[in-house]
Order: sequence, then C-alpha cells, then structure tokens
Amino acid sequence: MTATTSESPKEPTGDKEAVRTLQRVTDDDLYRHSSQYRLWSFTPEQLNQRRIDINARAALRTDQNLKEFKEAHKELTDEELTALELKAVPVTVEEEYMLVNYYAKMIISFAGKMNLPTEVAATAASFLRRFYLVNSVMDIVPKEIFYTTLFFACKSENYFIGVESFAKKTKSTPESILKHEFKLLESLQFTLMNHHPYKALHGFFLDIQTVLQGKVDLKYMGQVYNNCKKTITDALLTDAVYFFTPPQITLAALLREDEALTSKYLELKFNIIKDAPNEDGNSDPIIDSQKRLNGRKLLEIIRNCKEIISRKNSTKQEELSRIAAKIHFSQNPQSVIERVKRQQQSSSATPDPEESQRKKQKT
Amino acid sequence: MDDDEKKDMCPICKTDRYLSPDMKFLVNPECYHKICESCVDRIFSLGPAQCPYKGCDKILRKNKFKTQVFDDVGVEKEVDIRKRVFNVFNKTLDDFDGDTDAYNKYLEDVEDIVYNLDHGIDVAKTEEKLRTYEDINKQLIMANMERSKQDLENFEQRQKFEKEMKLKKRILEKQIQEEDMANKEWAKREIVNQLSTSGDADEVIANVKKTVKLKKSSARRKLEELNKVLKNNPFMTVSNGLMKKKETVPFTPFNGDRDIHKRYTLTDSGYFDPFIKELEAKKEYIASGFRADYVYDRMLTEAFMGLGCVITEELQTPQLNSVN
Amino acid sequence: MMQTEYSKEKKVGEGTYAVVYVGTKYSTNRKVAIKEIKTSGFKDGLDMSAIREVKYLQEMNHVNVIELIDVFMAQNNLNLVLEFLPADLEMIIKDSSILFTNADIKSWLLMTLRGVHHCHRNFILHRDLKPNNLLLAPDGQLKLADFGLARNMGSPQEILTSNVVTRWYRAPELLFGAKHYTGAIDMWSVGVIFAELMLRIPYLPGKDDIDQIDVTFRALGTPTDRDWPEISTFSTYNKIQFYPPPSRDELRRRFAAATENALDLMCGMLTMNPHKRWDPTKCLTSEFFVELPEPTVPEELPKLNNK
Repeated sequence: MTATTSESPKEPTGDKEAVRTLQRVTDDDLYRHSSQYRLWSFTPEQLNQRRIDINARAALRTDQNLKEFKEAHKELTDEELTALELKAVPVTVEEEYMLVNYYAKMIISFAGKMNLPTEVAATAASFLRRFYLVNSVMDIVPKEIFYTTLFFACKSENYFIGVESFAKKTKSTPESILKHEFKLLESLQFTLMNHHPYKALHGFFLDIQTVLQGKVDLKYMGQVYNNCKKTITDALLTDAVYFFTPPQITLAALLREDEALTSKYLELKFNIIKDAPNEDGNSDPIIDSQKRLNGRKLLEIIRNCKEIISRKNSTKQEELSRIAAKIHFSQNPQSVIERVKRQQQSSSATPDPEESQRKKQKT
Repeated sequence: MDDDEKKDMCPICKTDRYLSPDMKFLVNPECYHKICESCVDRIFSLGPAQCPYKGCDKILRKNKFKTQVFDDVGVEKEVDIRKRVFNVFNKTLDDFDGDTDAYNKYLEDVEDIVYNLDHGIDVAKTEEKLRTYEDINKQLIMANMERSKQDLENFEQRQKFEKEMKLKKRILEKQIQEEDMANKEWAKREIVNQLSTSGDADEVIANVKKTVKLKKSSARRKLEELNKVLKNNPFMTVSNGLMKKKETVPFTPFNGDRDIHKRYTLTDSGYFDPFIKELEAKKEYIASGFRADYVYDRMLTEAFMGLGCVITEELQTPQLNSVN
Repeated sequence: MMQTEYSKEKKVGEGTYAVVYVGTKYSTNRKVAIKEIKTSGFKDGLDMSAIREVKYLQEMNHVNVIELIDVFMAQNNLNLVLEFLPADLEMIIKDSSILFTNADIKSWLLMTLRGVHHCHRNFILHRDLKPNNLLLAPDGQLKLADFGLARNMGSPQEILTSNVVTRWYRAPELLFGAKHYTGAIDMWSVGVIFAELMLRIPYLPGKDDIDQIDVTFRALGTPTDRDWPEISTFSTYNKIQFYPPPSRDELRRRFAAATENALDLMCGMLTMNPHKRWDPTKCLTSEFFVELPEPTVPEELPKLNNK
C-alpha cells in the first residue's frame, strides 16, 4: 500500500483540472503575428504562381484591348496590322520581374542621393516590390509610382518631408506624387511595417562577440559588420525577403562575408556537432518551440538563403528600354500605328533611342 | 504522596518544581507518560530508548516529546489523535459540492476512527484504514492543507488591513477636527480683518464662510474615500464566495504570455560597439534617459525574432490572400 | 465592394482628421466602430496619424490592445474598422455615481500594463496614454487605443519629437524637451493614471506647458543632477522652481487608501530619472499584484450606468 506514491486515477480527488490556457508567445510567434510574415511571406511556388496570375490577368486585358482597337479601326492596313502583332504584345513574367527589380534598385540609389536613412530606402524598395505582387507593370508603370513610393516610405518611417519640398527635390509635382498614394496603400493591403535585417545584423554583431569571446578580432568584426550592411541592401532586392526571415537573411549575409567565422559561431551557439555520425542530425538540440528546427537544419536554410542572395541579376540598359517600349506599345496601340505612319513618311527607320526620347516627353 | 505533590515532581529524578521553578514536563504521544525535560535529555539523547516508567515497554524517540498542554493526559491524547486524523481527513463541505448528508456521513466515519484510536479498539485495523486513505487521497489532502493555510493567511491579512484602515480613519478624523478648529480661528480673524477695511458685514461673513467650506474638503474627501473602501472591503469579497470559482487559476502577471526563454543573454561586461558607446556618453542622451542596454536588448531580440520560422514549411497550406 | 460588408449607423464622434461611426458587420452581426479618415484637404496626402494608426494596429494582437478588424477604401476615404468599445476609463473616473475599490483599480492597472508591455516588446511606443485612450469592452477588458502618435522605438541616433503625450501625462524628460527618450515615457503616463484612479481627480493638472513643469515638481519634488545625471543640461532646467520631494508620510496621507506596495509601484513609475523608472516587466512582477485584494475579474468591474 505504501508503495503507491502517485495519485490513484479513479479516485474523485476533487482537484478540478486546472484548465490553464497558457499561450506563451515566443519571439518567433511575435514574428508570426507580423504582417510581413502573414501577408508577405511565400513559398517559391506560391510566389511564382502569384506572378504568373498577375501577369496573365493584365495580359488578357491587354489582348482584349488590342482586339477592340482592331475592331474599332477597320481601316488599318496590312502593314499596320503586322506592326501591331509584332509590337503591341504583353510583357512576360520575366520581363515584369526584371523591370520591377531595376526600379527597386533605382529607388535605393535615389534615396541614397537624397541622404535618406537606410531603413527608409529599404522600406521604399520593399513597398515598390510588394506593389507589383498585386499589380502588373502593365497596370501602372513603375515610373509612375516611383516617387509616390519613396514619399510614402518617408512618411511611414517617421521621416516626414512635406510634399512641396519633396517634389522640388525630385523635380516632380505634388499632384503626380499624391495621385496614386491610395492605390499604393491599398495594394500594400494596408500593412506598412517592415522588419529589415539591419537591426538583426547589429544584434548578431553583439552576440558573436559573446559567443566567440576572445576568438575574434573586434576591429575585424566592425569591418564584417559594414560589409554585411551592403550585402543586406542587395539581398533586399532578391526574393529571399519572401522566403526567409530577417535573422536568416542576416546570417546568410554573414556567411557570405566570412564563412569560417559564421560557421564557428553557429556551431557554438546551437551546439551543432560537426561530422556527427548520423546524417540527419536528429540528435542535435532543438532550437525552436515548434520543434521544427535544429542547428543543422538552420544551417541548411541559411545556405539556401545565401545561394539566393548571391545570384547576380543585373539587367542591361538596352533590355530595359526594350521592355519599357513593349509596355508602351501594348498599352497604346495607336502609337504603333503612328509610328508606322511616320516611318512611311520619313522612309528612314527610326532607331530605338529616339523612340524612348519621344516617350519621355509624352509621359 | 498526594496528587498535588505528584503533579509538580518528576517521577524519574524526583526533582521538585518547588526547588527548580524552570522545570518543564514533556510527554510522548506513544504512552503519554510525563517526564521532565532534563530526564528526556539524559535518557533519549543517544537514541530511542524504552520509557523509564515501570511496566511501560514503549520505545520513545526524543524528537516526539512535546509540552503537555492539557492537565488531563486523556484529553491531551485525544487532541493529538484528532489533530493527526484531521490532518489526513481534511475534506470540507465544499469537497462534497454541498451534499450535506454525504458530508455528515464522512464526519461520522472520522469520529469513529478517532474514537477507536483513542480507546484502543481495533487499533491495527484503524491505523491501516488511515494509511490507506492517506495514500489514495494524497493530492486532495495536500490541496486542502494548502487551502486552509491560505484561509489563515487571508484572515491574518484581513485583520491587518482592517487595523490599518481603522488607524488611518482615526488619524483622519483627528486631522479633520484640528482643521475645523484652525478654520474657525482663521475665519474669526479674517472676518475681523476684512470688516476693518470693507463695510458690508453680511457679504464679508458669507465670503469667509465659503472659503472655509472649500478649505475643509481635502481631509474630508479622504475620509469619505476611506469609508467607501471599508464598505467595499476587498476582503469581504474573498469570504463571501464571489471569488471562489477562480481560485484554481493562479495569478500570473503576464497572463502566461511572456517569452522567458530568450535565445541570448545580455552580458553585463558590455560590448565592443563604438557607435553606441559614443551616443551613450553624450550629455543630451544621458539626460533623455537613453539606455545602451535597451538598445542592445532590442538588437539582440531582433537578431533572433523569427529565426525559428521555417517559412517554406509553415506556409505549405495555401494563403488566404491570393490574388483576387 | 468592401464597404457593403458594414453598415454605418450613427455618428459618435468627430475629430480633426476622422469621423467615427457605430456600425455592424453584416456577416457576423458584430458591432463595430468605423473610423472614417478624411482625406481631402490635406496637402501632404494621407495624414500621418492615420498612417501610424494603421501601421501599428496591423501588427498588434493582444487582448489589451484595440483590435483592427479591417481596413477599406470607400469614396476615396480610408476606413478603419475597429472593435466597438463603448466606454473609456475617463468616463468611469469622472462618473461620481460609480464606486470602485482597490481591487478594481488593480485590475485596470494590470490590463493597462499588459497592453503597454505588449507594445514595448514589439518595440512600439504609444506616446499618448491617458484615461480616455484606455477603452473598456463590454466584457470589462481594458484596451489601449488611439495609436495616432505611436512610433517604432527608433534607431539609436534618431531624433524623436518631445511634443507628444497629452500634457497632464507627460513625463519630465518630455517637459524638458528630450529627444532620445525611451519607453519610460509611457510608464510615466501609466503612473499618473494610477494616481488618478486612486484620487479620482487628475493628479498633475498643469494649465499650460510651463505650469505643467511646476505642478509636476511641486507634487513630486524637483530632481537634481544627483538623482538624474545631466538633467541640468536641459536649457529650461535652470529656470525652474526648486521643490523638495514629498516624504513617504506625505504620500501616505495623499493616497490614503493605497497600500505600501501600491505606493512603491506608483513611485516606481513616477521616478523622475527615466533611467531608473520601472519598466513594464518590473511593474507587472511587483508585490502589489500579488498582495490581496486580488484584481477584480474583468467581467465584474464597475460599468457605466445606462443612461
């Protein structure tokens, strides 16, 4: 009898099971609550599908417009029709992607020229890219939303600049800046908070000092920090921002900067046993509350991320002009006809540079 | 030797209380034989030993000896048995969900046990019963013990609270009295003063009275508040059952919602961070309440916030916000 | 399309940048408040308060912070759909027909602190805590509202404006024009609100910004360089009157119903030096919340009498 130390299960002991709904919220959960995670994080398949859908919708509309245009202009000559078939075609998903990325890059360098804080620049780029995860470049061309995005990013990041002086600085007009502000806000799904990896970088800069105490030269760490800041800015222009969280992107940037240092840090930090016999690393300590992750897997995630942020995607200027012209013609079939007519008149082929010149004056 | 004499003399060493007034008698619940403190020290210091009374074969341990509370050893014994039994059979009416009959039946059973033990009836069997019950109901017994401890604490706190309140009330009342006196004096003087410069006596008196009225309010207001608090005595709510239902959920300051397992520890020794160090030394930063440790803590939090979110796995289920 | 999901039934308030309506969400029959943000007539486009409110409420998810249910555009107006909260703490404090106990005060303070704790752990400063921004739900839950002045805790080198928080609840460093303040400014406001709950009149009611400095230090003593390093570097510091800090006994007399633990907590939040002022975690783990009486359960808190 004396051996029964635990409570007997059947006895009505009367201690009403204390139903405690302790929803302990970890810092990871806080991130899961953020709009960046809820609305702006995707798997590669989801992101890809999203881009395809947006492009298809706009392309369909473009084709329809074209058809209506042709029906409304029965007088078109064969030559003109051929020109339409050739020039007034919707842009592809890849072309959209190239164009948006180009403007995202531009907005960061432009913000730099205006001496805006790094985070404002990063937010502007993020806004612009998110805008085109809802709209197609065939709906609104990036040029038209460019200053709006930058102006709005300033406001959102508490770096207010009056619209008048902003217009003066950017050589645009208050009307054109404000014209699409609502459209932008709506496209952002009314979520404005951005978690950029810069603060995480600062955090790792501190934590590496603690973990690798005495094993790392602090002056050198400062150098790593500065280089990584640049890497992160570049990373913000890749799709890594949709597939990974800011700490993961930061670690990828660090890994790129100094593989040995970062690996050592991660090994010590998360007790990753190097060259452990079991390949899957199941015995490594779990490092998140949902038990999805151990150090080895984290390393794998970071390596994947590093791979993505290291991809070079420089698009040539001619390529961009070609895409811009393509959008212009597909959205304004009349301009194709005018072009054909002018060519017939001057009978000398108009080269592309002049083409874009004329477009600039128009918009 | 008559009874009175026996009462004040140790039957073992024959020391008399008359000669050693500090003498104390102890008994052991095994047999309840009275022995003086110095005898207990002498006989049982080296370990358990047989009771020195003639014919008593109980083995006694020193740590079980206690001061006798009741003159009558029989009463002393019963009280001890009750205490022991009730420590185990410590259910209250609440545990029967208000079923009075069942509760009464339970009390009767407990009385039987006490009676049997007290009168040496079926001792072995009864002891077994007691032990069995204790084993089975360990959890409940612990909980009830905790509860009665809490009740006692509440009672003590309540008494303390009420005492404090009454003291405060007395102080306030005295203060009001003093203020009233002072105000009266002041009013008298003020009326005389003002009458010497102004003519209309009625108006002067009315004005001064009004001022006095305004002056009075502060201590009085406090007294009113105090009375209100006493009336709504928070401890009453505890005792009148309003709060009973929720006692199973213990109070937690954050409602359980706090991450206490951070992935980092902030070092006290400081960091190499020339940028923050520079700000930290600036006078306008110091005066504003700028704290480098807050900054470090924030940066470190952001470094690990979301580190464990595996987006590609967690978002496998299609998102709600697909393009519409 | 979105606007048809909600009805706007009654106008309940109008501010400089918004009109508030009571309405219903058709699909769930849930009562909601719709804040319609005026958009015309602002030359700089969408108003900063509106941007802040949307930005921060989207990220919050806590019982003690008002819930932003939805946002939509209609007729070129921005509409925030918020949970409907019929009362605020100011109304309760001012209504002399309502009696409340120490247990009630403790409960409200507890919920306020939990809300502030949630903001701060998300690195958001509220910057306008006061009784009428603490709204009360029908089930008694208290919710932080009005994030029109909120902002992220900035990068360390950022300059913050000191022209925030409604005057009576403004921390001393703000009164001096500090530009690198911390979450401590919100804690000061909570301390003043706590005092107001106990006194049932505003604790530090300055008539204007200058008077606010005087009232604050008259009640709590003028800080010196010793207890607040570098305070004398504030340009206005040398112009102010010196008052000695109140003794514990004076505070006991002023807050007759407060226990020693209550006074400790209040003084912790009303510490002049922002470095030493208590943060939400320290407040929430203070003895005050452990000692009796237990905080009243929200459902049983005093409510406004129905008119």
